[in-house]
Amino acid sequence: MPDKPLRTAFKDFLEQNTLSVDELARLQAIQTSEERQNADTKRSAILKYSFFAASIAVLIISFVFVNQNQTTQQIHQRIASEVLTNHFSIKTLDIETSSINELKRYFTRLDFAPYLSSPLESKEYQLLGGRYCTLQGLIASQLRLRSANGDTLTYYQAHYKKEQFGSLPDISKGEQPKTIIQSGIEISIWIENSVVSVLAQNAYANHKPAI
Amino acid sequence: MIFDRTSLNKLFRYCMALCDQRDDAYDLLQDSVERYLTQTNQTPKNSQAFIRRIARNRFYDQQRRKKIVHFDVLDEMDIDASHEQDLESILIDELTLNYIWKTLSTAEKEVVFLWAVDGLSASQIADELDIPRATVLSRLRRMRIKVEQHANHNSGDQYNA
Repeated sequence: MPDKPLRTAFKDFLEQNTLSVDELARLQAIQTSEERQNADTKRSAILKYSFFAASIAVLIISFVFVNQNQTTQQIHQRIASEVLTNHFSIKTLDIETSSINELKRYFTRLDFAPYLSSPLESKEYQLLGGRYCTLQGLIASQLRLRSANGDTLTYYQAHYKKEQFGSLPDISKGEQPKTIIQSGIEISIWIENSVVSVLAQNAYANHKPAI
Repeated sequence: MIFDRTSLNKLFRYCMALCDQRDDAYDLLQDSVERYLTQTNQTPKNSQAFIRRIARNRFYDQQRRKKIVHFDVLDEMDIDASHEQDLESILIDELTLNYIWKTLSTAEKEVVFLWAVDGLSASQIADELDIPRATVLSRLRRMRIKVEQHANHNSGDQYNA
């Protein structure tokens, strides 16, 4: 055998080793089956990830919804507590009158003219007068009314701002007022024509006594 | 298919360089291909180099399990690049080459394989094996010394005869 340069000689020597046809076929079969398995694994991984992502999305949405709902509940509770304090502390009225028109003329510092909202129109109340107050930090009117059975009601109105009052039922859309009972007082909250109305009255005034 | 007939044969030769035994080389190759396919999520830039790394790691793992320890001669750090070029000028016959190959350590065989079959330079081999370039040159130099010693021994035998 003739002498060869070292690199060529090693190359020729090492390249004598080749796989048999059977060995090659086996290795190619392994690749095909592994690739198919890998594709299946990837597909199932995508499905798993999609399911996982969907679950996370549902959790986030639920969390946001619950959180938002809790926040709205908290705002309603704060309004009720504020109104309850105002209802029990009988302060001197700024104006004493039974005329709604006179009250409208008096409350010039409001962004709207106070009025008796539709849930109150159907009932017979005697108007006693009114005074300025605040509701959730916004200037508001407090009207004092007397019902047929002699109970005193307080009725509040302020310009509706969602940041201050949260989501409230809009009676102009057919929704029912939100009602909270605290310390025997029924507090109804609703909005109408961008005005938030809160009515505080004896919770058991319309119910017949048990005895 | 990632590895075609040519790639598989090339890998098989590499495994032969590590194992020496045909059956062991085939087992190592099959194991490496399976590991490559199951472990690799993304195709590496150099799939040949990547699977060679798998094969090398598997080979040394198996050796460790069999409690076979490969001793390597300490590297000579002051080898200059001219040794790499000098190798090109050496001529060798097949019998000598067969003999020399058997005397090389696994680490030396691996370097010789990459140098001769893949045509890599000492720097490229160092990059692939993640070892200093001086180590590669040192291994090539030891192979050269063995070739020269064998040649001298044989010429002495001829003279004596």
